[in-house]
Amino acid sequence: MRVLFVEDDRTTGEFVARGLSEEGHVVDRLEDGRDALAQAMAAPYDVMIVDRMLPGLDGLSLVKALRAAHCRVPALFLTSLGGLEDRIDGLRAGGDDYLVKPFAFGELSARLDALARRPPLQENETVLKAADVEMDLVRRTVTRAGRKVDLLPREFAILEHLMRRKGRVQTRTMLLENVWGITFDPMTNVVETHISRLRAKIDKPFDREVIVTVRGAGYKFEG
Amino acid sequence: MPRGTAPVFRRPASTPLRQALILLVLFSVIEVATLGVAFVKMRADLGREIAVGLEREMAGFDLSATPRAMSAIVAARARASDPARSVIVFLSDDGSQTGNAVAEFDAETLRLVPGDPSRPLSEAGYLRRIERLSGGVLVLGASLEPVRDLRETFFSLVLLSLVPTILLSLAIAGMVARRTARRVDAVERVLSRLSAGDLSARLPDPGPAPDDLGRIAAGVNRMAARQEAATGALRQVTSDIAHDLRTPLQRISVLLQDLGHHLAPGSPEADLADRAQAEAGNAVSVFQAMLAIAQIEGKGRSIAMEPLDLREIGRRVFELYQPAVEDAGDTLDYAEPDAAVTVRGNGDLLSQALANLVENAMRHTPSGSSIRVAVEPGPRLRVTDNGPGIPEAERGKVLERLYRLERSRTTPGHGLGLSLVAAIADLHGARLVLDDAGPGLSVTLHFPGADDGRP
Repeated sequence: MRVLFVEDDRTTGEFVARGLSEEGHVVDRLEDGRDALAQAMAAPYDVMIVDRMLPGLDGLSLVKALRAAHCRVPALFLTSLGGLEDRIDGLRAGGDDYLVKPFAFGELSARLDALARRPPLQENETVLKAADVEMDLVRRTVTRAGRKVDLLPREFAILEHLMRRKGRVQTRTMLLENVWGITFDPMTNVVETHISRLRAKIDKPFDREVIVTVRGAGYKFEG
Repeated sequence: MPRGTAPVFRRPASTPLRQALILLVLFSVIEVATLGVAFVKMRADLGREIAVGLEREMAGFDLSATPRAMSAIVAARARASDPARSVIVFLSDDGSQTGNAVAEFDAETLRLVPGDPSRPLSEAGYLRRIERLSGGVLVLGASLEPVRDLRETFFSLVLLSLVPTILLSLAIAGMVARRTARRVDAVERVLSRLSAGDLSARLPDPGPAPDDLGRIAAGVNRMAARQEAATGALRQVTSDIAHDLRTPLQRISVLLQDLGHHLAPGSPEADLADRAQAEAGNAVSVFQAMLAIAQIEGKGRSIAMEPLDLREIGRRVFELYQPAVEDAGDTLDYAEPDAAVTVRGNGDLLSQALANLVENAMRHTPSGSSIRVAVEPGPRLRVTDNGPGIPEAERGKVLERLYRLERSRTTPGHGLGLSLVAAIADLHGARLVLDDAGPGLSVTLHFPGADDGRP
């Protein structure tokens, strides 16, 4: 992916740019909002990461200006403003996702991945198949290797979410947002517990794991 | 208070009106008293004058005259004088009477009756003088008409001066009170808007030469402006601190992640890097919570609110936490009514409040406790546990920022959970009530609603 990364903090910028390069992305890193506006208009990018506080032109205005110019590149805001409305302001300005500092690299990477591949899979499927797992979305049943696996509704929803994004890391905050519609950060390991319940049913009786933990990031369905 | 109605008659407690009424009563009493004293004095003077006149008249009679001569003199005088003004009667010892009226002795008291129907007596009564003469009794009477006239004069004086004064004063007092009440109401309205958090509320400019209320209005405006500036500055400082702290924390986090990549996974060094990372995360969550409280308290009105079913919040949080609570060795129950429990609110914040209450219950109860989340018509949202509870004396304090019970110092958590719940409750106009669940703690959010019993 070609990533435009606008961040004026050098420590963060260099680390993130290096991490993204290691993952195989092409990263153009800029520190000034005005330069970024010119660059985004000049070259095609798959996704951009924009800090909200930038010299020259702030992140919100940058994305607003790009959207006004019909530039639809998905944008993820980085911010050190963690207020209630800051997130809404960001999304309203044309941002597609929002990440509050400090963030883990894994979180950023997973969210970029989700952004660049929007929309996920078609919603009109009735059966999801991955590895030896088969999910019937109409009858709400799951089988693995031909054996029926009984799941609670929420476990079904988590598995469905992971299967639709097969091979892509889903962080715990992404799961909270997408499966539960929750935007705050619980202090308890609620997501981990749900995943471990799901694993006990879908993975434990079988010899291979389909839900794998990605260290420092989250979980993914491996097909 | 609805506008356009006369507040005077519904607000006897209005200070200006009360003062006007007190002054009015005072002035009326003084006027009546002054006129009364003058009347009493003039009446005494008049009475004395009448008595002196009567005395002088009596002295003009020759006391030694014979009854016949006396009768003749009296008859002559009686013809000339109007019995309504002065009465003269001579009662001869032989029983005959002469005069312009008839005197009747009735059980030793003298009664005067008209002698001739065409010459009536005064209705005001008479000052009488009775003198024994050689051949009979002479009765002289002076009418008290002037005294009655005097009384009537004074009465109409009081009536003519006092009644219009009272009516006029009442009208003016009413008008002034109404105007003042309107201005005081405006001050009240602005003050209540200010205390509800709308710091942009201002009174109209009182102009260059303000009266007392105008000065109060100017004072309220100055106070509001200062508070607005101070709050704005505080908000700026809060978000500056948040920003200034996040940037170095972001760098720490980045450096620790970088460090982690250079260490063998699972090594003690990598573990230390992970723990340091987690601590940085905790620091973030503390000021994240502080920032959220500050924002909810400061910007309450701009937060999006919509009608929502509390049961959806309850189900979502119950469903999210149920496995984690079970893994911690406790049980989590949930109860809801069949019908929707609608409140106007912000779903994210209410979910967070409920999640905080559940986490609080998990943290402060021993393993094996049961926690219950209940949505009730009311509307109410309640979390009950059967743990050690909170001593009554400390229940107010736990809502204070960063306050922690002595025994909770060693448990995780930053002491902001309940403060955030309190701020969210306040934003929704809900009462946050901590009760003894005997044993345990019950925390209830009473939302404003039909059967809440309070507005």
